[in-house]
Amino acid sequence: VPDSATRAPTRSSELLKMPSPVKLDRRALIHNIVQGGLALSLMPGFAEAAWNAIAAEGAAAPPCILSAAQTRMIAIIADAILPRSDTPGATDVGVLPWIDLVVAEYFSDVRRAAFQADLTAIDDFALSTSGAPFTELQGEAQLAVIAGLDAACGAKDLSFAQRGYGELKELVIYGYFTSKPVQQDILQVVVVPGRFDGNVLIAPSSAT
Amino acid sequence: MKGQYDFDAIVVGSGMTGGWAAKELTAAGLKTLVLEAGGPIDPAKDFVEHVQPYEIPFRGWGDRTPLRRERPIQSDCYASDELGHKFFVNDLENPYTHPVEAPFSWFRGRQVGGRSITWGRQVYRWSDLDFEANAKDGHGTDWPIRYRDIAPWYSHVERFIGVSGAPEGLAQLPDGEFLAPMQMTGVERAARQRILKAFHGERVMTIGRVAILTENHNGRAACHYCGPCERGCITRSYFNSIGSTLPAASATGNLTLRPNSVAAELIYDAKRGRIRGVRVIDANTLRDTEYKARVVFLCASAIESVRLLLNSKSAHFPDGLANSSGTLGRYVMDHHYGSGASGSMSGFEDRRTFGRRPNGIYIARFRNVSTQHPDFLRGYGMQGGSSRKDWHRGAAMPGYGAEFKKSLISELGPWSLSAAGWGETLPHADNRVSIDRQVKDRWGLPAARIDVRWRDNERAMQRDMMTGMAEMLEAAGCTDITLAPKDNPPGHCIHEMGGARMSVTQDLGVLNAWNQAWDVHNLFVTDGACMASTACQNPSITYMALTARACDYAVGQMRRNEL
Repeated sequence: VPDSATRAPTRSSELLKMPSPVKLDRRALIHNIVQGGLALSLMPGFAEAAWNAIAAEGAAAPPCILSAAQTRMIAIIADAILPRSDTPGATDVGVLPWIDLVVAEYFSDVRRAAFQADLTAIDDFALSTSGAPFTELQGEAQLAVIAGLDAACGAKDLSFAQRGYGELKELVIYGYFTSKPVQQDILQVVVVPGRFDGNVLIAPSSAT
Repeated sequence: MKGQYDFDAIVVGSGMTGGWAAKELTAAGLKTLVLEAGGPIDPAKDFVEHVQPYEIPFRGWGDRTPLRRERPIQSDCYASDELGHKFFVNDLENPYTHPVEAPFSWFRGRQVGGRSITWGRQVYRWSDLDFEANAKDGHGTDWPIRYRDIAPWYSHVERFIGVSGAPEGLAQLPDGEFLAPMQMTGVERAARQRILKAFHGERVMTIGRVAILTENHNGRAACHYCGPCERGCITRSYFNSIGSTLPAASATGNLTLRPNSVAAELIYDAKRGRIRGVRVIDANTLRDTEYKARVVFLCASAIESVRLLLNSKSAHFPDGLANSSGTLGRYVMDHHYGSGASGSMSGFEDRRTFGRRPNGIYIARFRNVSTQHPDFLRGYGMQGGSSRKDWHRGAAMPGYGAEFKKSLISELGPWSLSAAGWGETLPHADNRVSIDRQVKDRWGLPAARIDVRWRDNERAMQRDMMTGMAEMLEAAGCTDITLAPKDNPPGHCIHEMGGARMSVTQDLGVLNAWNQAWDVHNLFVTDGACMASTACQNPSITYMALTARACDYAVGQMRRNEL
């Protein structure tokens, strides 16, 4: 996600709706989200591990930039994109605190504002297509919203909601696949290959 | 060493050319002082090529808050990332200016080793097509040398640094003394053959010629293919001065390396018509010291060397040292690069790569070699490669859920093949570096003002880079061919050249055929400032060869008491 992709501010109405950057104590945020019923969403079993991972960062962690509602939305979408299966899901490997860090400190002010406004646009999209803000929908309804947004990935001329979802998806995938558990245990990245072979035959079972 | 001198030789800069000057001069028995403006480097601590993304907070994207604050310019370079930014200067301490309408990216490394730590490592000899170009089409001034003059020095350098590559027998891209080439991928091999056939041998795709070892060489280990060379290399498998030339110089016992030493001024002795010494500011204490030597080599990088000469004014040289020609600071160039094309290649779905090859493919210049293109002079080479996308492809494709995740983990995307052009820039007097007296660096030295612009010839060439590559991709059997225009500003290629060019006569340039200042015979400039044209090849090996050649000449003159 090169920051050179910095975007122009979005519609002023969205910016007005955009929550101000709120610096919350992570532990308080975790508490609020869990108490707020996230465990009933798409990812009940995964939430605890995710929140524990955030909490483990302790007081030294940077302040949260994302609101509780935004964090909750991101968690649901992240685990819908990369759910737990025979391999860990997105929130299992700490994608949430990493996205929070990126939005807070890697994104420029303009890009952060646009990203947060686009998260609001996802809620607007859910409201218009499913009758309620995203986080107030139940599992299948949330998946329907995600399906509606995901179909546009890779396309041009995106709506604000599609753009926000696309950027979030990129963050989720990058955060997941660069995490230690995935790099070491799933991808089994060889840090020092010792040789280069430009034409390795893939075993037929795994060829695509 | 005579008593009136502190050293036989002073070398300003410890990077690509400074390391070579140090090696050659100390090997000849000269007590040599190397001045480096930046601090020392400890490879064991500072080289970070094996750090994994999960070991750093932003997974390689960079901590933008301090980067934006301290390195707003440097962080635009791919190598100045979350780990590598330490090898780039603090922009606040090292300002420069340019006209608003003429942006210039000046990426700089101030540390022992200079930019040789982060360079791209691609090394290509020039040919007489390049050395004769100025004379033939009238742009710039004729080079005072030809290929035969530098060829033995290319060999000298290649034998020491180790260059892997494949001989091709091309007149416009002479072969060197190569270690075994790195492997091309199956896609690249197929594309090479198809392109050769389609263009009747005129367009040649070869493996990149690169200063990375494919076998143990001169006490350095072969590459282990970890990938990010720009972060350093603990096994010294790619060439940089800190792992090769400076240790060789140190082994002679004749080297004094002084980090944190900012060269502020070359002190001209008008009575003797030569440089007396170098005024140095200690980067930490800001204390002034003058070091005297019989000969001075400027190897500080093109713009830094020009800036130092322009800042070294005297009654005899009111417009900058060694500037009787009035060309000092003029004819500054960089390669324009980045436009090209990409496509997908089918038929290799059962193949992948293993290891991270720190190298790509190179397509030798084919424009204006045997026929004249109607739209532009000179030519371009192309650099690129082939790959299959791994999980990175996930963000740009529809999909979510367990099966989507599984496919990103266990499957690869289609093969892509792409390349972009590196183009020759015509020399123009108005593309110049001057001094901005209103802006000073942390050490109180007036900053460079850089005004370099692309013109019609470069723009026409950039368009053809896309066309030329698309034609080759089509010939290679690619589909989904996409043109990729780029409009990188001058400087972005980090191949700054010119400003103190070599010339046939004293009135046309700053340096003679031996990189010796026409006006001040104990001054040599052997970094990119000396270049009278850019060719299209990556220039570092030419700088190195010219440096070794100039050292040999200077040592000969000193032995004959002509200096």
